[in-house]
Amino acid sequence: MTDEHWAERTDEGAERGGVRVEDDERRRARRRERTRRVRLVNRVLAHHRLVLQDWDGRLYLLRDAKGRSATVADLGSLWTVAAGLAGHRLDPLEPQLLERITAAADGP
Amino acid sequence: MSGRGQRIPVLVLTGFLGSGKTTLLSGMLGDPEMGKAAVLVNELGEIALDHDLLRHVGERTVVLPNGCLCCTLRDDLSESLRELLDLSERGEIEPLERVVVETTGLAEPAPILNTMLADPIVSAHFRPEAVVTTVDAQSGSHSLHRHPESVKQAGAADRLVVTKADLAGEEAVAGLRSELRRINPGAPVLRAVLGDVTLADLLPPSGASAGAPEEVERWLAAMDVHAAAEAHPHGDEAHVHHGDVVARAMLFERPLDWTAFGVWLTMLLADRGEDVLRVKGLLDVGGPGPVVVNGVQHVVHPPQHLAAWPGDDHRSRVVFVTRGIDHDAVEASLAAFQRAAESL
Repeated sequence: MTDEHWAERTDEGAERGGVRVEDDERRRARRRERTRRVRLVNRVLAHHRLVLQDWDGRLYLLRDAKGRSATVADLGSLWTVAAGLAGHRLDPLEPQLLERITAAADGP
Repeated sequence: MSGRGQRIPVLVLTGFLGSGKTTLLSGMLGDPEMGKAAVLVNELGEIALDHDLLRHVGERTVVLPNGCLCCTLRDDLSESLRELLDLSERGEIEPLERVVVETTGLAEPAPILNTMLADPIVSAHFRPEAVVTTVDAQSGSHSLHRHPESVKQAGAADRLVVTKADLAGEEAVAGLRSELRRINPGAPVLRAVLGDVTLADLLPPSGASAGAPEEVERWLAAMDVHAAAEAHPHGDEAHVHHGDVVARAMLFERPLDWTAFGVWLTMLLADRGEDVLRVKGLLDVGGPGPVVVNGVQHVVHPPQHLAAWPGDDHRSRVVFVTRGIDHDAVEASLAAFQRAAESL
């Protein structure tokens, strides 16, 4: 049984007969995806002058430019807390945001 | 699928005020299939019960001759479900095979589903099975146009039941059906006269949950993604409208990045969850089988990562039913997040 947020589960084939298999390979894959997740979220948050850090693989730490911070458990609560710190809504459809994250993807 | 063992399925019966939920329930209670079920109702007094044949278990709970348990729903659904667990664990009632929850007419389905998925004790013992929404053939169309709750209830449904069809006339029923199809293209529409619907009619086939891959395939087929793809110059979408409610199917030729999809969808739902009535689909994320996605507003059922595809088409296909949101913007946003993830 797990309370892992749905968007953070990457476990195809990891449950056999209702039992979760947690081997070294799976742990490495989870860490890798967690790192990628933080990088992608940071590209989005940079648009709102916020930064996310992984905290020991268990929590995330969110900071703003004024030095304020908050911990969040998972993606489920991240965006609401981030909107609170930013002081405005975070709209994933905003064209300037999309331009920014894809420009970063295309590189200099 | 999940490591949570055999959880008790919960059928959520919703529908606008006066849409015939109680009549439907009263008709179902005598069904032998309901013998091992518990029904949580708004008001015991409103259900047609023969009081001479009832056994009382506590002040708010009665047992019908066929074994079906009827309880008045507390304000808090999780408290009611925990109470049922206690009764069952103390041996005061038979082990439950199913719970049917009748919501109030103004209730939105998403918070009810959220209770079942987010409350640790409740989610360990219960799972949402399906949402059934009653719509009155006489006044349903009016409710859909006047009351946003009514649209949310119809959008969340896995089965729609048009009630009072005998009173409304064929033309009105046909008009309502096509209106419902625009809000919820995938849910089968049944019709009921004086509650003549059985429990089996309301359940997904073979006892699977509404998020079962076969159910999702049927949903996608109802949107006719493929026919639209052939007719469309870009070949990747189909859409239908109801006022500002739009259902649109998207088709992706290449596998999607699951991590980026999760980041994107959580952000979309945090910002616009109220207006994302439904998300349902099968995603190719590069694994042996698809990920089944099934969401109602802010609430997403835990996606299943399947070992194999249910059909021959292995492309990602997902339907979004939204209100007042520009679908081109949704699609552009998803594409940008996917693009950004390529260079991580």
